[in-house]
Amino acid sequence: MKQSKKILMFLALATMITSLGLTSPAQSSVTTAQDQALSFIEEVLPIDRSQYNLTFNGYFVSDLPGIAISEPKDYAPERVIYTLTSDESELRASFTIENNILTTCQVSIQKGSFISDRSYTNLNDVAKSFLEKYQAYTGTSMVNMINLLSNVDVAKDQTIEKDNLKLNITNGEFPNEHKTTSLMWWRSINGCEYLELSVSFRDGAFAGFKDTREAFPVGDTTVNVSKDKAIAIAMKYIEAYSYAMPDGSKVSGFNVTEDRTTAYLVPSVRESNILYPAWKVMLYLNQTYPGSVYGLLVSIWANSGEVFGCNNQAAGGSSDLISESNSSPASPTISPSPSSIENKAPASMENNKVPIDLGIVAVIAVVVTAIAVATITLVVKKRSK
Amino acid sequence: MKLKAKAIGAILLLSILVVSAVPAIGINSVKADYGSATFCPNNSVEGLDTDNELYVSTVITSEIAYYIYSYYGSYYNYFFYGTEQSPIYPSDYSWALNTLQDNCDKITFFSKGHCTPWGYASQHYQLLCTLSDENNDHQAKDAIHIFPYTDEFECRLTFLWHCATARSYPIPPPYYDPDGPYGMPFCFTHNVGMTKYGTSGWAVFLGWNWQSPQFESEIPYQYPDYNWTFGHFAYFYYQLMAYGYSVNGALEELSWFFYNTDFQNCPLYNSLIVWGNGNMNLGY
Repeated sequence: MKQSKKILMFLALATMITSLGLTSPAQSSVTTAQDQALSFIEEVLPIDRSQYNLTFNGYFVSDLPGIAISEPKDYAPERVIYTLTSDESELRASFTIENNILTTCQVSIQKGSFISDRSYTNLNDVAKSFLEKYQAYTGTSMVNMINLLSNVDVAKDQTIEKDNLKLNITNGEFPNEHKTTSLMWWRSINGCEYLELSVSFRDGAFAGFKDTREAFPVGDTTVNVSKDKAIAIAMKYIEAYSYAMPDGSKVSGFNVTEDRTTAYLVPSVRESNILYPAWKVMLYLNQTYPGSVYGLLVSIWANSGEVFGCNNQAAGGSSDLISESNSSPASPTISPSPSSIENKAPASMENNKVPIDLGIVAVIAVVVTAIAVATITLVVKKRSK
Repeated sequence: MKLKAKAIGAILLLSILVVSAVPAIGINSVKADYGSATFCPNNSVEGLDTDNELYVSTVITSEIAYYIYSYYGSYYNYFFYGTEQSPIYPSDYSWALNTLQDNCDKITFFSKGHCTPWGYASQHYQLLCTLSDENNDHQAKDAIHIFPYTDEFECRLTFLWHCATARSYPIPPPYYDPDGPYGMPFCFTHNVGMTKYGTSGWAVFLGWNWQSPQFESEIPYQYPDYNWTFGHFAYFYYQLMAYGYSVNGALEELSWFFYNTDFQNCPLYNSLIVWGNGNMNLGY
């Protein structure tokens, strides 16, 4: 009997979860992520907390589509959303938690304006204050980053470097009269730039931040492969590279426009979440190859020279058709008759054109489940006799 | 006691299923609130898509269709994908738009593929269907296959992941040329008042200013480098939308995720164009 109850409960829960179309994350994950977001709001977000009511607005885990071999296996960023409301203002704060560390907070104004925790003299003051609060929150010294802000007008685009630390300041005016200021601190190690912190302000108020240092720690920073060597490795690699077309043919033998080749160092993730320097070599091809491929992006580990990826870079146009169309600007127009449209209706029921008809699915599910429940009930009755 | 436990279990099961089925069964005689169509024509005849691109596009667009469907749970959610054996024709676009506007009040639309200019001054655009090549008529043309089937102003949230679909807008009066009304933003929405990266109005249209990246292409300058592709971008975008993010909210989130900065500062700004109300979400 206990067994039958368990089956019923399992079926009930499984059906509930399936019918809601949701996976049920462990409660502890939700709580942990929620706690991290909450403590960031309380300790770092530069808002007048006394003015805002806080509402938990959602939690979910971003699963991956499984479309590439290189897709990380155990990586599932968590997202938490809070709404902060006051009489005159509404903010939506969304957080990303990666590898159990809060890495990103992004705040958008839904109504009114951002009510700050205090009045600030200028944007430098806002930025410096944020860093000091964040420093206290993380317990990690950010003195060097704060120092780079001294005697700098963040309203002007510029790059400031001291030792191996670099600060990029970018300002922009955008539609709807928004003015944004982006501050990005990078640490350069052996020519590869590792992001320390990124903070953004919109119209003088906090808009977002990202800190990946703890979630993606830096591993071996050795760079043994020079840029020229990386390009040579990439060129050699594509001699044997090919990709398949739908008709089964292979495309290979690529010619590269060498003077357009670019290469840059970037920290790449290996061993789950450790950063290692890698070369990204972009080889522009001398023509658009089948599959609309105009370039090949080759990824090479900078310490070993091993190639760990080669991606087709392609675009959704057709240069032939574009030029053909340009040469003959006027094309005949053909209006479909109403009957030709009606005739297409049954085609939508073909196997590759799928109306997602939940009604029928649900009715079938109800019938099948009812039969299953009746069967289980009969079996249980028989056994209990 | 035994019977009670069993009865509760059975009722629970059935009630859950019935409750979950009710909104989906719908009543066909009444116009549904929301409807959607997701198109993936998969051009394979002309060699525009690689084998991997066809696979990735079909997977991602089916996920997109699922996310939209999971949000609406409406009867009218269509997913079209083309194969050489069972192609998508321009009239399929017309049929889907016509059916949706006949049966729904609001339409959410997504399509991924190729697009080229045509017609007067090359200011018209055509979505290439499965069997499209330069010598046939298998292109869904803005003035012919789209505009006449969207005249009830119901395409409220449209995203065309095809080249140049954001172009030919804004459009001056009289809104047509010798080949008819032109430009995908106008032909889908019939709205002449959408502003670039706007925050108000009843419609939003997303398209590419020029080249739309193929889904298999890696996102350049991502940090940290995870070999993420534009297929991931599209997948995450609709995942966020399904969880209630607005268009602007999802773009901001993805910009921080891939580029560590806000959307206005990321490389996609002014390439991936938003016409109209970026504050709209799937529940517009």
